[in-house]
Amino acid sequence: MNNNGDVDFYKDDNWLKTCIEGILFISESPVKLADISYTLKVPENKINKIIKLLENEYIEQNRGFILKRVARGFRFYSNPVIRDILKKFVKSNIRTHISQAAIETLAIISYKQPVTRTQIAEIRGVRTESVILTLVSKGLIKEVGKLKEPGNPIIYRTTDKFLELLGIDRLKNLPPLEDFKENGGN
Amino acid sequence: MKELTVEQSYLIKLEKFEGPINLLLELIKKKKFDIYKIKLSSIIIDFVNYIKKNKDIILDTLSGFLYTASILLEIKSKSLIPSKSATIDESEKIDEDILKKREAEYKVFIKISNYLIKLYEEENLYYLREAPIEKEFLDAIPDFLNTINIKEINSLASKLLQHKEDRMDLSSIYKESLSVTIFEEMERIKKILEDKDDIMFKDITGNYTKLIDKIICFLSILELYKKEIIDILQFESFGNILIKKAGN
Repeated sequence: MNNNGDVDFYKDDNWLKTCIEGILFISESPVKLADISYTLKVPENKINKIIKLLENEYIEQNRGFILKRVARGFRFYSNPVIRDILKKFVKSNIRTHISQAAIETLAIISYKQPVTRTQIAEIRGVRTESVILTLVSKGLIKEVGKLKEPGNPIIYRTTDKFLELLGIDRLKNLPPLEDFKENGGN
Repeated sequence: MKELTVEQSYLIKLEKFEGPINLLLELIKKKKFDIYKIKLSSIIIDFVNYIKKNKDIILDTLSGFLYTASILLEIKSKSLIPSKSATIDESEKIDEDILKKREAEYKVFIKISNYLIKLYEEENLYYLREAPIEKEFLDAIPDFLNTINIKEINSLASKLLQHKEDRMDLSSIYKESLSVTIFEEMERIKKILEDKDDIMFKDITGNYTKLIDKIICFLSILELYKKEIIDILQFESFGNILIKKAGN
């Protein structure tokens, strides 16, 4: 500690580890590197290194929790090895059920974004208004503007919550579209 | 092994065909089966009865069946329209190509959907701390309701509840007698657009007091739009409707 009673953040790696662990502990949503860096006034690559240390520690020590990188941030999750035990403990599994219509719409938006409702409907071959409303209300997609066309249709993109739902860090981590195409006939 | 989807496992039973709907579509496209010989209505009715009896089946590929059925409908209805020109074969081929392309694209996204579901299910291996935020931090959150008092909430609620009473009783419209016909309106609007490049819908119907007359006018602009005599533009939901001469 310096004379003011403030802690010199720069000096002690162990202290940094404690701070970062605490920040991640109280956060309800994934915490971005930039935010931690800003709060602690420490460069991002240093924070990244320490987080990696923590990540490995938890796995090596077989903790009940792990750190995962999702939606471009870090977050505590339970250790997957004890999933079945936790399932008994958690009273209700409040995972939202995703309908086929919703997942098809999400599939199209995630690969074709930004995209309008009509463009989605052309691929699915059915009306998509209510699915889109539901996905917006669940926070999985968002309106990002309007197209400069007659009717000024709304354009949509997926949100960070969508990434969290699937445990993905970034959209570019999704396999390329080509991987899903068939070569030749059925 | 994955269970067969409804698309694959539900069999259509016709006089000369028995099989899943996808196969039927393939045969028709390859011209190995005559679509005239198929009663699409009975296929659909059979399927509806099937669904009614098997309510506990998870029909999340129902959309697939419906999609294929609607392609069949499209092909059949197109084949029923009398052809005017010799180039009809060409346009039929184009339509078939478009249908094929659309189908292929849809299939790609079904695959992607399955992949995303896999990711979602894997994510179920992880649980989150569901406990709420601790008290010290809760207290730090600003009170958003600080500046609102009960009087304001009361007046907001009254406004919202009142809005419902403004709803029109639409059943009474049909009792009114028409002042104009759609044909007359179409002629009138065409005449207006001879002098002007465009006009707002509200200006055309400004003099009309009866709702039924405004509806007739609206139907006539839809008819003019179908005939490609006018273009219709609307820039925001429930905003003003602009009517322009087509091709501007």
